[in-house]
Amino acid sequence: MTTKRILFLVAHAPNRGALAFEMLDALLVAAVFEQKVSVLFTGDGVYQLLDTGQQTRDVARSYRALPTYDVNDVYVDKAAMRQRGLTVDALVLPARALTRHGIRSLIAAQDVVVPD
Amino acid sequence: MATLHLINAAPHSSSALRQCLYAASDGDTVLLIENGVFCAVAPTFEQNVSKATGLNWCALVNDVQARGIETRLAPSIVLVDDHAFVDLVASHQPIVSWS
Repeated sequence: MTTKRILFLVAHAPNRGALAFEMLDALLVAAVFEQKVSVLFTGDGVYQLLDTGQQTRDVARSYRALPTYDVNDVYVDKAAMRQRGLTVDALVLPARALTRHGIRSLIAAQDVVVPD
Repeated sequence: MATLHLINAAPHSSSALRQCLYAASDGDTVLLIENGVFCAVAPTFEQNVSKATGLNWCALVNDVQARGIETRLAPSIVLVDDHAFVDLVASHQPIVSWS
């Protein structure tokens, strides 16, 4: 099977019904089929990585499973984080902060970009 | 290959335009579709977009006509039909949708 570089681009805040979970499902399926998967949280999408501490089903807790699926290329938009007063140590999983230049390079290197 | 960005949301009701401008690289093409064509209205375009030189701007002609803004577009917007849309998709990689 052809391996493709697939970037999942999370740009919206959580709590939009099933949408955030559907993105995560698609991402995990791509990872299981051994595609080169990466994920970038940008804009209000960075809020998806905050642990709410609530008992309700929480997409951030599901994202915590990414390393288990060998998805280790997790990126956040540095400027979006700064604008929202967030730091990477507040997130539910290890993520690399990318500058604008880094984001441009990441997108340019992909075969497919999947938006949320 | 350069990236093709698709914007399908109006400029003031969504962050799609702003996020696209942030992530797009020189030489990329931006195609405005559905309510995204409102980004091409001259004053909006000049305020938000004209500083982003190096990008090629297109709008889907059917969506422009359906909204009655054909005479209000910024001059640098290239109108494209469905066939040209397909050509753009075939000649760019990756395709990034902003909504």
